[in-house]
This record gives sequence, structure tokens and C-alpha cells, in this order.
Amino acid sequence: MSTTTERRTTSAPPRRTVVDVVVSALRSAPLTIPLILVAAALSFATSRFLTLGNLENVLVAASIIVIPGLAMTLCITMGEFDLSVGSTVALTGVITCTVIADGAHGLVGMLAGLVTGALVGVLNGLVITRFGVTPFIATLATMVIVRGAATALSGGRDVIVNDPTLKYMAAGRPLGIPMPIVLAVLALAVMLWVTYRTRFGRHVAAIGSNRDAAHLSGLPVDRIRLAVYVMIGVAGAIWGILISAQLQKGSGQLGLGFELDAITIVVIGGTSLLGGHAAVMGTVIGALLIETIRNGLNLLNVPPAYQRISVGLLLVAALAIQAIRRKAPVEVLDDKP
Amino acid sequence: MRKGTTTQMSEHDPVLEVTGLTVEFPGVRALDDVGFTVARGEVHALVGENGAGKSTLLKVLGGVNTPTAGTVVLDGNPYSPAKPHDALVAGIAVIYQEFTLFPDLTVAENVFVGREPVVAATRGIRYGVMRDECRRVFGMLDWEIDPDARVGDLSVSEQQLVEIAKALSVEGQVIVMDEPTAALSHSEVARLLDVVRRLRDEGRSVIYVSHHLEEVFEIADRATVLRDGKHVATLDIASTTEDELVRHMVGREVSSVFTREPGVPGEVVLGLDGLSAGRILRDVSLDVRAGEVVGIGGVAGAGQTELTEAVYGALAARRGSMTLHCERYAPSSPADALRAGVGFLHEDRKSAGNLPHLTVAQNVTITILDRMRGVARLLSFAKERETYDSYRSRMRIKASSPAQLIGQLSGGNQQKVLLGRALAPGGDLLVLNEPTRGVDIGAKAEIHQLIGELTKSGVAVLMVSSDLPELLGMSDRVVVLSQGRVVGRLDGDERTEENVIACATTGRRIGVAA
Repeated sequence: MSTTTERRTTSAPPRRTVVDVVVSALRSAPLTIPLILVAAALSFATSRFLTLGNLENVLVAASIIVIPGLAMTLCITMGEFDLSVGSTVALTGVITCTVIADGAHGLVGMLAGLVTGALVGVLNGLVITRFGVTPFIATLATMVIVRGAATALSGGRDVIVNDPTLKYMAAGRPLGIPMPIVLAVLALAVMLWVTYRTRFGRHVAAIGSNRDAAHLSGLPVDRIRLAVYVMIGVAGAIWGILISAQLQKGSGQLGLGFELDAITIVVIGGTSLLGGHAAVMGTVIGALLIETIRNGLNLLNVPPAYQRISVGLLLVAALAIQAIRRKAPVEVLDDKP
Repeated sequence: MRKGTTTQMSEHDPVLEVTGLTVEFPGVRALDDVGFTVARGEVHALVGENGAGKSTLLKVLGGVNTPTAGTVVLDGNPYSPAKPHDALVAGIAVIYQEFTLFPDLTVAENVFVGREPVVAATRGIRYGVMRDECRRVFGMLDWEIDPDARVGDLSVSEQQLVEIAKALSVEGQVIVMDEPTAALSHSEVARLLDVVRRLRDEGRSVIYVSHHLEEVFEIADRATVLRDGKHVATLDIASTTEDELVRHMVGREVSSVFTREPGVPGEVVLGLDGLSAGRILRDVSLDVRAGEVVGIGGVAGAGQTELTEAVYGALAARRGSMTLHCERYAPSSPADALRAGVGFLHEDRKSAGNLPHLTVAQNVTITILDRMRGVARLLSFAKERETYDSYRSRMRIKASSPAQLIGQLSGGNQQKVLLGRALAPGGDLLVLNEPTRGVDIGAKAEIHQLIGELTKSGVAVLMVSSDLPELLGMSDRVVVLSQGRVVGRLDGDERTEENVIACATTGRRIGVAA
């Protein structure tokens, strides 16, 4: 949150341009400073951090995680969350690789993966909206079911492929830019547009802000919720495809604990778990911060277990900060015109 | 014989003395220098209009609200509970209108919640002791119920008895009942009154809050009347009449009464024919014409909210039918109602109105976002701002900018924003539930003026209000509900506070066949 950013938004012109939207989104991402600090510290701590190759690694890792993170941002803005996204990664990976291993074209395999993700989303959405199951329990159940399905389909073994199309998703470089980064930028553009400039995005925020009031304002609350779960399902499928593309295999063991990563980057990015407020750019910064920390700990040869502890601590800190902010007295402005 | 001795008792044996009690909330004085005395073995009724301060008084006695000034003396000792538990320990048991029972626990567990007898060594609950005590207390109430029954399986009146058992079990000296008969059937009311008599005969005191004056006359020894947070009178029931009590409840200064110029009603916009909805609303028929305000009165919970929600499609009609512009109208959701041109304001701004994370402008435009789209179907912030600006000047909304969050406005301005939302779809029927609740006087006058302007332009308004001067001042016609049914249709000179209160509380009917 640089001071120039602040100054520009306070004197915002009446017409909000795309730049203003990005700026105000940036303002809601107070993580920028820790990100810079961590990056600076790592640059001093190890000479291997500040190299083009390593920074690209960080960016690619952040790009892969930010795609589901952006969908999760919408879900959390709605006041709900989806625990099944890590299992969706496994199932789409297995299905994509199985279809490809059976001889289909890589694009067909990926399409099958995307459809799978969408179906997981439909399942979540229907259980939650038709039967009124709380999202926590419903997606916890789906998480188990979907991972079980992934393991069953793969017969508990890795489904290994060697497909150029699939490989291109991870290692391709259109215009010299790694494919995951291209996809993430596209996803970011879409999500900024959806969240801040469409009726749908406004409705999502309204539902997260006060669901009863949203219903009484005539919003198709359940339809919107269902749509958000489908979006997360598809985003989870893209995640699964990218991971399988990197590893050239599908497995029931992929994506374990990924749901927490996705939720963590959203929450540390400043989107309130209680809903109502979306910090899309915050999620981007959150992804960069987490992947920078992971990368740095790797470079410093910290064992993976400690990396997990540090991500967990980051989540606790972010939640504590949110809770403290909620308790802070709300400034009620004067009624003067 | 008993009633003759009451006054003496109150002088010689007071169990509860309230003096100079004042409770202030930001901007409101809910209780203002209230004093009265309750004698041992007395049933003391507490009556007054909605908002007279009864609930606040009960909450002070129950340790929920802390008074700003004044004292309460219980059994000769100063009494100032800091939390509800203190009240129980001191011997004051308050039975709130909203039950405080746990539906999944048993009767015995509910009676003993928070003070379960335990085995010292293991901290295990002594269920046997709990059951025995329950049976003892239920015996006093002449009620046979299994202490192990699940409370959620009981009827509302049985749940009420569980609350009373809880009060008896803590050896409450003073038992406070807030509208205990609100949810009870006729025979259940009789049984409850029997229990109250038995409590009194045991020497306990009962503070009985009720809107139903018949009950007050049947059960109470004395009645204290509150109005606008002030003590008006304490009357001996034996030597007073319903009319006198009603007069004390009303007695308002004429200056605060607002009057809207009566309009020239046009064609029927909304018609209800035998509408039943929700748990309470039964067989309601009425018309609302273009350019008029039809006011709905009654004590809280008489079906007003169900009526507005049914018209708005938020509550399904069980029986009966509605017409809008003489065409069949059966909304299955608020979205249907909005499409049909029905604007709606919910009584509870906070829980069902405000979108607290959204700006004032976004709060106004939420129902009409399809009209806020510009290039490539993107939301046009310019259009939103334009729309908001037009409502801001029309409703005189005072906000620092369109981007201010709605929660940062005063209650009155929040209400104006929500009224703007109700108007935004541009329909010709407005359903307003308590349009000025929790709103300061200035904003109230502005909202009243706005409703006047709307009706002049031909909008039909169905307005629920528990604020009698507002109800009478704004409405062309008043329909009074009691327990979900229409009990009064007041036109012209019949629109008086006395008539509304009489219909709402005494079972009198005006303009309606009995």
C-alpha cells in the first residue's frame, strides 16, 4: 500500500476507469509491503533468489495457485468456501491423463477434465442450495468423495502420459511468456471484470453482505451460489490440468491440502471470511507472497514440513488481523451533506 | 377480599421498588424516571403501546440492560444485576417473549441449564436430582410431563410452562412474564392464568406484561401504565375500567401528530381476498387504491409482517388470492414481486435491508442492475451514480459520497437509502413496514413528506406502523389486525388512537362482522 496509491484514490475522479478499479483493488491489498520486505530479505539472504530464472519460478507457481484462488475469492466474498477444490485437482488430473492415455488428443483430455471440474461444482452447488447443507459440510463430503473417485479411477496408480499438448500448458511459452502466467493474467482480467463490473459480481457481494436482504432485493440467490461453485470447480480443473501437465501424470494423491492453500491466499489477501468484500488484487498479492516464501525457504534448504508450518502461521496471522480489524470501532461519519 | 387488601400490601410489604429508573441508548431515552412498587403476592400488570418502554424495563430487571440512573430495591436490598445470571440468583426470573429454551435438550436439562447439580468427585450431572426437582415443580403447576421429553417436541404452551418451571425452580420471588399469551390458544391462556393465580397465592409476585387488556382485568391486582418511556399511572384494577386504562395509554400531545393531505383514491391497485399466510395471518381481505395509504395497525406480531411479506412474495400464501391491477397476482419470490412493480421496505433495516459492505449507491441500485449496464453489458458506474444522485436529492440522503458504505450513515439516512431502493424499480405499489422505525424526528418528517408526494403521483401504499400518530396521520384508511385477523376497518372519523388500541387489545370490532 504505497502512499502514491493512497493519494490517487482519495481524489478519485467521478468516472471510474479500469485503472481506478485496479488501483482501488490494490489499495485493498495491504500485503504489498510484506511481499516487498520478504523479497528484499531473500535477496540479501541468498544470491539465488534474485535471478531471472528463479523469479520466473515464483511467478509460475503463483500463477498456478492464483487461478483457483480467484474463484475462491468470489466464493469467500459470498460468505462461503469450497473445501473440495484440492480433490478436484486430483480427479481432473486422473481423468485428463486417463483420456489422453486412452489415445485421445490432449485437448480432448483437458476438456474432459474441465467438464469433470464443472460437474463437481454442480454437485456442490446442488447439495448446498437444494438441500440446505452448509457449504463447510457439503464440500467436506465432496472432498472425500471426489478424492475417493480419483483414486478408484486410477486404480491407486499414477496415470503416466507423454502428451505434447498437455505439456504445452505447463512448459509452453507463447510470446516467450510461460503458459501458466498467460493463463493467470487472463483469469485475473476475467475475474476483475466479473467481480467489479458485472451484475453477477455485484450480486455475489450482496449475498455475502446480507443474504436475507439480497433475497428480498429479488436476487436469484441460489442460482448465483450454484454458479459460483461451478466456477470454482472449473478453476480447480484448470489447476489439476496444470499440475498434471507439469508432472505428466495424474494421481489420486495430487492436490492434497491444496484447498487450504487456495483459501489462505484469499484470506491473507484481505477478502473477509464473513463475506461481502472482494479483494481480487489482494488474492494475487497473497499468491505471490506465499510462493515467494515457499521459494525462499526452499532456497534456504528449509524442510517442507517447516514450509507448511509457515503457511499455516501466515493464515492464522491473517485471520487474527481480520478479527482485530472487525473489533476496531467503525468510524461513523457525520451526517453533514 | 383479596383485591381489597392489595393496596395495603403494597405499602407494607413491597418486594420490588423501582425508583427514578432511566435508561438511555444513543439518541433515545427508552425509560425516563420510572418508579413503581410491586407487593409480595401481587400480580402487577405492565401496559403501554409498542415502544412505551416495557421491554426495556424488563431487560433492566433481567440484568440485560444497565440503567443510566435510578435504583431498584429487591426485598429491602439494592438490586443491580450486571448479567442475567445475577437476576436469577437474586430471585427475579424473567420469561421473555422469545423463549430462551434449547430445543434439543430435555425438559429437565432446560430447567437446570447453567446450574446443573453435579456429583462433587466426578463432576457428573445428577440426573436423578434434576428429574425429582422437575416433578416437584411440575406438581405445583399441576402438569404432568416427562422430565426427559425433548423440549423441541413440546407445544408452544408447554414450552411456556417449561420457562415457568425454570422460574419456579430457582425460587424466584418475582416472576416477570413478557406477553406470555402471545402464542397461546384460548384454552391454553386460561391454564396459564390459573398458574399465575397459583403463583400469587403462594406469595410470589408476578409482573405481567400484556397487550391484551382483558387478561389484565382478569388476572392483575394493579396495572402500571408506561408511555414514551415515562410512568403515567399505577391503577387499582378493581376500581378502574378498560376505557380509563386505554386513555392513559394514549394521552398524547396533539402537536406530534403528523397529517398527510388525504388523496383522491383512484383505481384498485392491490386486492387481497381471504389471504392466509405463515403461521398467523388468516383470511385477510382488503384493497389498496392508487394514491392512497392504507395503514395496518395492531400490536406487535399480529400478522403485519406476514401480510407485507406475502404481498412481496417472500412468504407463500396458504389460502386466498391477490390481484394487482385486477389481474391475478401470485408472486412466488421477491423477484416476481419486483417484476410486477411492487416496492418493499422491511421492518428490520439491519437484518434484512442493509447490504453493509456495499456503498450507498450500490445499495440503491441492487434491484435494478440490469438498467445500470452500459458498454458491453458492463456495469456503468456513471449510470449508477446518476441514478443514486437522483434518489439522493429526492430523498434528501445525506452521505459524504456515493462511495460511502451504508453502515456509516445515521439510521434515518440508511432508511432513506432503502426507501430509494424500494422506489428504484419504479412500480406503483409500495409495501412499507415500519418506514420510520429507529429514525430521528427530522428524517421521519422527510419520509412522511415523501410518502405524501408519492401518493400524489398515484402510487398506492400499504403501510404497517406501530407508531399510532404516524399510522393515523398518514393513512386514508386503517386496518387493524389482531392475532392474524382483521378486527377493525377504520375510516374517516373512526380513525382514532382509542379505536385502534381498542380493536388491537380488547377484542372489540369496528367495521368488521364479529
